[in-house]
Amino acid sequence: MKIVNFSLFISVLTILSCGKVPSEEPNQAFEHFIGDFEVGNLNGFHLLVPDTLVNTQIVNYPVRKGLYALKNTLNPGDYINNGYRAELAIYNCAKYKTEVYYGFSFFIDTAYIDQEYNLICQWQDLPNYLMGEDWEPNPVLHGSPPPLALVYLDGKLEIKMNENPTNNNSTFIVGSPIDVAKGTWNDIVFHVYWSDDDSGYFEAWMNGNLITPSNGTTNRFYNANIFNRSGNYFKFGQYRGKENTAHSNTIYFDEVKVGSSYNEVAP
Amino acid sequence: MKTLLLIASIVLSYFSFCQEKNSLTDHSISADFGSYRNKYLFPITNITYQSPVFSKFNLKFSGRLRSYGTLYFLSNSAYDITPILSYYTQSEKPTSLYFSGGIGLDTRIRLVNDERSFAVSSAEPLFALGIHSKVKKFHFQLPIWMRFYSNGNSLSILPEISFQVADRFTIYVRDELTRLSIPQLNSTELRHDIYVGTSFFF
Repeated sequence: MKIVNFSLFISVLTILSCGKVPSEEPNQAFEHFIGDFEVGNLNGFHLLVPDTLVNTQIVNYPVRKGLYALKNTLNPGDYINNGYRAELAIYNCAKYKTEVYYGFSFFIDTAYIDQEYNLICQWQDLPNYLMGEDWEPNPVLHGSPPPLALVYLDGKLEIKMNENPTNNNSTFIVGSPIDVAKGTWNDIVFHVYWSDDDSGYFEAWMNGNLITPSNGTTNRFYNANIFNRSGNYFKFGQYRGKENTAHSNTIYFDEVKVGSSYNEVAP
Repeated sequence: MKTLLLIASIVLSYFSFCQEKNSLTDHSISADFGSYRNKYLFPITNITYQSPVFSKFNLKFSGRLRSYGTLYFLSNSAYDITPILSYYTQSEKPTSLYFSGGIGLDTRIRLVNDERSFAVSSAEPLFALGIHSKVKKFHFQLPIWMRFYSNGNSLSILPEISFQVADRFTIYVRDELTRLSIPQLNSTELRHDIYVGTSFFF
């Protein structure tokens, strides 16, 4: 009888509860995305650029596929949202314990002359909204590098990770830097399983070749890749953090896609 | 600033000569700040009012207002309001061991306006149990809170140690460890926050 009463009590409490557990559920649906610029505008992207007319132009040369591509230019002094950047973002595509493919093509302009780091894509962490967090705590906290990023540095491409949300000096390179020629298109595909524990992994291809190191059986690099269960969001373009660029630099992008398989996103 | 310090000193001096107060027979207002959660820094502020035990029924009311994202209480992102009515086995003087049990409501108010946020405001019933102990100037508490949601539950343990620095003032440290569970999805999450604060009895 006591067990029945206790069960009844718990049932009543559950019925009275109007909200869900404030914890992100695993394996939620994410938003598939096609950003090939063929519609001639930037609809669907969230823009983090000082001036859309200057930083994000739709051009018909060079293009990877179709008729149009994005000309992304970062000029000295282009500072917005606490950093020197000209980025385009796609939301809700890197959720907790989801498996997602990302693809895009990039083309380093032949006139690109900066030799400092430049993040051409990144998966940036989010505040843990369900725990009451937001972007601008008071006092302001210092941001840390994103959990996963693709960095262009002096003619080479590096995959960088960060596993410490409180430290700017905890980044590490996955695999070896890869030579990137200016003036040619390069196709990138990332396959990521987003997790806050060691079950998280990613593998990446450049121009169809795996660029993540072998672990003996696959080329998946296992490491936690989200700081909290809000997950990440995807950005591409140019990001220099707090360091101003010395020159105007242009990178072209095309065939930006998010999906569930390699073939769905490969340029 | 000097004037504020002078006023604070006078108030502290006045209350220092009063008879020692305690959490069972007096009202209290507490303020604490959390700065470290899970693995990173994040500011949180709590202000808590606790009534004295209503000795006829051994009942006591407490209400906690929590603001997220700030050490200055006024938040643009989120608040929690948590009123609890508790029964205490002790009503007059804290002893080396006494207990409490109560029910309450945990109300979450989420104000973030961001497409990436799926945080919503809601309220859930809360069931609280507590073990308390007063030894000399130290007061130990171990409350356990259970919250019930439409798709799961959470269990929090909130050990707290406070030290009576003056008749009307205590300082304390509280740890909050919460395990959120969604049984249907076999999903659990651990959260950890640490707070330091002070209580004023009146």
